[in-house]
Amino acid sequence: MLAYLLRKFLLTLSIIFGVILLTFVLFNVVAKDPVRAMGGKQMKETDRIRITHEMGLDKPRFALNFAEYHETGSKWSLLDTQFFNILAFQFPKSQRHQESVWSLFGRKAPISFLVQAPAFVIGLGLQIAIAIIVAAKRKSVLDYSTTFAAVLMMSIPGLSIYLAFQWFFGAYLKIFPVAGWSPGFLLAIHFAAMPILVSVIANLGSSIRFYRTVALEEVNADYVRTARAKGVSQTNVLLVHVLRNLLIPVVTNTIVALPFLLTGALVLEKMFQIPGFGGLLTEAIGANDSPVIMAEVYLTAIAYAIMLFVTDICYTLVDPRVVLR
Amino acid sequence: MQKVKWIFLGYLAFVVLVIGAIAFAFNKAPARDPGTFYAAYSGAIKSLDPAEMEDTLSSDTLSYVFEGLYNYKYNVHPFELFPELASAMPIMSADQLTMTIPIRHGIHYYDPDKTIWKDGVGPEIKAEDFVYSFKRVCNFNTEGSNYSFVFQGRMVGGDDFYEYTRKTAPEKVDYDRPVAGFAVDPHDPYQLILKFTAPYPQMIFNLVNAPCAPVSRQLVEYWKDQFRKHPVGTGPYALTEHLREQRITYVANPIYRGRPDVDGGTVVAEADRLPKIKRIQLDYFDEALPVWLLFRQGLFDVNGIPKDAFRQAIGDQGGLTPEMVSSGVVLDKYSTPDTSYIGFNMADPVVGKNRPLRQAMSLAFDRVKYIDKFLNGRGIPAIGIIPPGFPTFDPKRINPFTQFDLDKARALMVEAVKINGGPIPPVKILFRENNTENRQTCAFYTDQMAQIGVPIEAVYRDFAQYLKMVDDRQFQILDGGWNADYPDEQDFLQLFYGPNAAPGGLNAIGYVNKEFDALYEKCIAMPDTPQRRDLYLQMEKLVEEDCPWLITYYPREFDLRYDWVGNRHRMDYGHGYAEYYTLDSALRARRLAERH
Repeated sequence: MLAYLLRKFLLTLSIIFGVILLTFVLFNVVAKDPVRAMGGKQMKETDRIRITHEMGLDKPRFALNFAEYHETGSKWSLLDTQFFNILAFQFPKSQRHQESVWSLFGRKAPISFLVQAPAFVIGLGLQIAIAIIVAAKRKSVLDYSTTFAAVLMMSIPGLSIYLAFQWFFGAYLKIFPVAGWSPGFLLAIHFAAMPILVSVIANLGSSIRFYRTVALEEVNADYVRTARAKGVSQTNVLLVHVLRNLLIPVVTNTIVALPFLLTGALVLEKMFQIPGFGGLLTEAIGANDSPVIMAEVYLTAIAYAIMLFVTDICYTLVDPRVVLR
Repeated sequence: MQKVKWIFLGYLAFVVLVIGAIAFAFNKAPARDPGTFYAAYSGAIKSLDPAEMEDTLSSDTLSYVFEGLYNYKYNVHPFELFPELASAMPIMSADQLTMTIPIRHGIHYYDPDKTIWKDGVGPEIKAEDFVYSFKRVCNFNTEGSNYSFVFQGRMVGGDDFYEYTRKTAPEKVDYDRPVAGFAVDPHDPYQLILKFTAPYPQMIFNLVNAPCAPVSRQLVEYWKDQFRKHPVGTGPYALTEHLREQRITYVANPIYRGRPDVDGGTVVAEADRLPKIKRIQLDYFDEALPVWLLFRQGLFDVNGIPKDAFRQAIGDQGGLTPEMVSSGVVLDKYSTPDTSYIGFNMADPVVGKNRPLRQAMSLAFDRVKYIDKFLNGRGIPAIGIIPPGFPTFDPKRINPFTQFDLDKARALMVEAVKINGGPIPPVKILFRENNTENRQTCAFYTDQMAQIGVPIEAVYRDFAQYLKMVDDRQFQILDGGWNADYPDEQDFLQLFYGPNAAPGGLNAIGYVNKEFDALYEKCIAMPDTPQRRDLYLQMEKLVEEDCPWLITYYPREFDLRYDWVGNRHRMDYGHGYAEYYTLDSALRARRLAERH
């Protein structure tokens, strides 16, 4: 197992390096003049010089920074190039927000987490519970009606659900605030309640369908028939035997989704005006704010690669038949 | 084996707990203050340092807190300046190269955070504060492009100071280094002297804006880089809370002098004291529809009308719907000093060298139909390049090339085809973005120009590529607009001045007319006189005949407010007008109680 972990770790590192290198090259090929975009319509030469300096674009891209070395005499300054700075997570500051990328992420990620985490926890529990129940009661009225409701929820666009909730529960019944945010944990929950609710509902349909399908395979398996023949109760059949075998796809979906609890949901946060991470990438693309785009791409790639690594390890915990070699 | 079952049941119990916690916490709603004016804002605020301010949102945010040497009189049209932190209008030397400005006495900074001053009351404003603030704008390390727009090439010694700061480490910049263009009268610490390299009468308009507002050197040196998060001014409000992309809160400045046109310490009658509203809260919203719903609930006091909700607010006759009226909503309509246009690249061999073609295209464009289809009627068909609100604008004037006249257009096309040496090839229009609105607009242009046999094709580019193509003049025609920065027609006329046609320059279409340039150079240093207005009219006529722009419309804004908000008038220039608004809290409370 140790050999496997070491191999996987080195592979993950090389994947991350590859993503960073590829994204960096693409940025330099595609976004040929990010300074121009930041400078606005009437950019003067003085503005170009200043913005180039702020974005770190006056440094060499890959090659060693001999100019800085001759000036400062410091050997570390040789590595003061754009690519090495990115590798060391030293991103230029966001031009749109005039704030360091880390400060921006540190400000927004916890807010997204405050909405996404409860929605994820509640949603996962409901999805698995409902999927197991309807799989056990296949071809019953409950099964048909749940499947119908799930397909209906899958068919309706998320944005429509958000707007409907905002209008009905917010503007019409006035139970929830339509949108907005406030600092302070309790006040934040006041505004996060409806986004959490709609997020659970919007994602319920597709997940119930998926888990139901997996559960159905298990419910019809030989070992379940054996357990029933031995007199095991329906509850224990579902929760002890079937659930155990359901865990591999659950682990896969769950662990890989964890990084996205911090990155938020774009449309949800936009419509409910949650100042989280969700819209940051889209806004950065629209505003040509390349430091934010690069930082978010890198960090998401790193988080995803790490989570895949963790998923492999979790398989061994969930299924003793899995051996990592 | 049972472990998994109990873990899952435990997880479900945790889910129930989470739901319960949310339900419990949900009851805690933020309190609403009866004396607060509530509104929404959108967009990212880059900095609250006046020297770095370069976007409308930051400027509006700072306008509550900072004052300028001059400002515009509230709700007076045509716009008229008055001395705000200055005690009198500036005195210009005979050669127009020296501007002397006396400063009011007894005005102090107020810091609501009470960082370094007792009770937050800072030192008195003097001329040296402005000298320091202007030098900060001229510092290479200061974010923003205010140096290039306000001072570059205009102030004696200003460019040298900029070069000095470029070569000096930021922490070693010496602000006591003299700059001849910004000086304090050696005999009077309340007298500011500005020296120009060439006459520049428009500088007084710059002195209204936030980049020229005074800042406290003590506080800048205390906060250093963080000063951009701690704005401290002399204005009617103090910023007490700024949660980025969440909320901005202002409270009335307790040491404000009561009126902007008096010295500190002047006794102002209680009935005349400003600001009238003691607290303002602006909540951040990026999307228009949630704001609309909250406005309908009465939780915001003012709002615009989102495009998708237009028919909920405005009836067929152009006034408010009965439902809006019964809710106490008031509609305010304003013209704005903007001109929208389609610009022709004057270097292009097809459109640039063919005046009859440009004139024909202008005559074939149905402005009334465009305004009706795309703007819900919120626009005025354009007459000339200068929009309403300027002294030279005459709504009754007839511009022969902005009338919708297909017969005349077709007659001109005969000439245009001869000049081109054959049928006109497809003309490409450059758009900044490939979105639904631009595609629909292009479809409209295509239909219009098809009536005179001019095919149109769209070129969609992202913002960076758009700017590059404009700089390099790699376009035939482009969709554009210009919003006035100050109430002087020169702000529009500079867009046609030949020397401004450099890459990245204001004259993006590359229009060059020697006669126009001569007139422009003649009037650029003139004060506002009937003679100068005549020259402006002559220049406008030249441009209209050459038709480098297909001028489309002047926008009109529809603003909504509840009737509990009073004395709110749109001001296109200047700062800090919220101090004049009134709020009838009792009426608001009554109306909201009736709804709930």
